Amino acid sequence: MAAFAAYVQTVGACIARQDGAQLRELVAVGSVTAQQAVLQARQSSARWHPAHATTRLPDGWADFLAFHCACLAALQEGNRVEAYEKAVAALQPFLKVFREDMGAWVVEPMHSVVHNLCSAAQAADLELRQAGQRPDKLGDCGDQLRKCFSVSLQAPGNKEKKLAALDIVNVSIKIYFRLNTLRLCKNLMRTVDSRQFAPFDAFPAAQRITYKFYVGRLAVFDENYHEAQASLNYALQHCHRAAQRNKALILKYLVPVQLLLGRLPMPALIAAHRLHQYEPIIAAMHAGDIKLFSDTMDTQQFRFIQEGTYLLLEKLRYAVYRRLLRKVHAVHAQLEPEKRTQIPLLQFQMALAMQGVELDIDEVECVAANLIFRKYVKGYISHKNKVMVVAKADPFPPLGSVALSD
Amino acid sequence: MATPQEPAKQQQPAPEQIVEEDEFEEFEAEDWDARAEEPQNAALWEQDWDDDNIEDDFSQRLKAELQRQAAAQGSK
Repeated sequence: MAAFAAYVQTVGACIARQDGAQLRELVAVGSVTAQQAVLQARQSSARWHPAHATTRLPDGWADFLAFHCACLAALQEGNRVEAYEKAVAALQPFLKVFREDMGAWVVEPMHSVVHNLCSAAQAADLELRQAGQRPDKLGDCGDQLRKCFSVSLQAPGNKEKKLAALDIVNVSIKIYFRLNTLRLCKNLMRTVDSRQFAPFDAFPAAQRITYKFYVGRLAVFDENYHEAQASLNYALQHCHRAAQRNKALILKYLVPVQLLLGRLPMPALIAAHRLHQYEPIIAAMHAGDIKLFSDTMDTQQFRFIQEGTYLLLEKLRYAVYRRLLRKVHAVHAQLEPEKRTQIPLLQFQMALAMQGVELDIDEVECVAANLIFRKYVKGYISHKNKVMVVAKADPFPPLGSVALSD
Repeated sequence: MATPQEPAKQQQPAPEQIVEEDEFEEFEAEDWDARAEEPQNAALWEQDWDDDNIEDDFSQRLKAELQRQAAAQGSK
């Protein structure tokens, strides 16, 4: 039997026995079986059209598979924009069968349909960009995915169809990150947290961790560092141990967040995930070394900007100042115990100068005022006496308890 | 009219994956339990480093410098 007929027959058998897992593989863009079947069919006749070969499949599935194979054919011909259009055309009949079939098995092929759309859209945009045209397919794909999302949430006839939704959310968020339309994520996340959504733990680990990674990254953008910490920690803890690249990616954002909240990564963690770019930052935090911090931010500027962590790391500057002030305070307290709460700004200035940071006294006062304003230090400044008067009890509250948004 | 296609054109591979630097990768597995996770290790993060310890080199130098200045002022 010709490969294409055999492929259609296998798909038909999956539908008949409701084998979602195998169907998911067969209708993924990356399916070698499907690609070979389509390639052979195209080679055997230039007039070949998939719609002629899929008519034996049940209603809806026939149209879906015909469009899906037309999408593969277009990809093989190098027509990526056309491939995307076919993928969109395949969506319509698929959503119809997803709605009408009472079984939860349709959740599996939904994953492929969603991922197919997204990768076809990316390929199409690449082609459009190369041709000097406006790449608008990924944005369109986001609109298409909203249809998938709402059908999955409605879950007509079977509540378990809701289990397709988190993967759709993840792919949508990925798209919003690409297009820099992050505000669109908010509604999706609200829905994930709502009672309309299936319980979070009902979803497979891969989807839960992907979701938490993006929630964590968005929380970083919103300067909601405790939520970022919780979400990224969840992702790190439950990540598959073999997925080293994803772990390193989680840590890339988790490390700066933890630093902001006053937790330093252990050297073993840095070494295991090759996060050496953070080593001087961590050393500067620990030592209160503002010179090392500034130098690192200067020399690594492009890297941190590219990695999207520069603004986050820059927020550590006051934590480093604070650490230095704390050392000055401790030394001063030892030398002059009776005046321990009154730190002369000159001493802070001298400590900075010893690191090679020359600030005039007004600048030092400004730094001190900022530390108080940001609640990194409890106290006030006596401008006349050039003295910082700090609280007797707990003048340096734990970093994790300090409100960090500004 | 349909014309036979160039073999070279037919062999065109599927589009290359466009992977951005920051893109979270698809996991190989779909689902797993705690056994596939890294064993819980409490020692990933250090929390009690932000203390008033001045044993470090910099603090000692700072102390020496402050003492020197105090002595200089006292002898004036």
